[in-house]
Amino acid sequence: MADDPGVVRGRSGSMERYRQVVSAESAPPPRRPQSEGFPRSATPRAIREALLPEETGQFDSEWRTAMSRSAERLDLAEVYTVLERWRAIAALTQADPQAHRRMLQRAELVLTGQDRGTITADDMREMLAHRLG
Amino acid sequence: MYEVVTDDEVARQIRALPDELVPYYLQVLDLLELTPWSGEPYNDAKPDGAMRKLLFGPAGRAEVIYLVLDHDHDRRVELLRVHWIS
Repeated sequence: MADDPGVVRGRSGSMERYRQVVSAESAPPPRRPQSEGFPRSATPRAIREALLPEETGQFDSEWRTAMSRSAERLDLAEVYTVLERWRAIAALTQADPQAHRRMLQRAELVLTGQDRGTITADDMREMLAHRLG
Repeated sequence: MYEVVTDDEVARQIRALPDELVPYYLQVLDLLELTPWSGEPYNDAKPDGAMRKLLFGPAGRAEVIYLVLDHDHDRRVELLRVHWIS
């Protein structure tokens, strides 16, 4: 599988079993699919305008903090980090704003104990089994 | 071991996965049952946040976003969205 470009990536260092199956150290680093289709040159205003109102408060808070620290340090690295992070979320939002809104709403319901998924992993496996070669 | 569950909307997203991503998604399920915290935080500003994401498939072209609920009596992963680049 050394040439298999497939990956399952999350936090580094914890995927050894899966690297054996689906990953290769030589594979190109995974792109962030959320940020595909959203221009790298997007301004902070454009990024903010692409977000749902539910998330603009968090963006504003992080933006102000990063700008303040960057002014003190004379280093814009933190600002760029914040923009890249939110550019990805903005792109994910714009890919399907209603799905994104429902995702945030459902997350809130699940975290407050008001919702619980009823479709299990085994259900999902069964749903997909016939599509395996 | 975590219980991985989702709702009808995400099930529709999973059914719509391109064929070539299906094997990778099935591996994601295996992973989430064992080590869901290995995903990246949804927002890096909250590195320990319960909302996580995992890239999968060739060049990480797909991702799953999910919640981890980690209580003694309820170790659960709730899938919130499955998204990919066509």
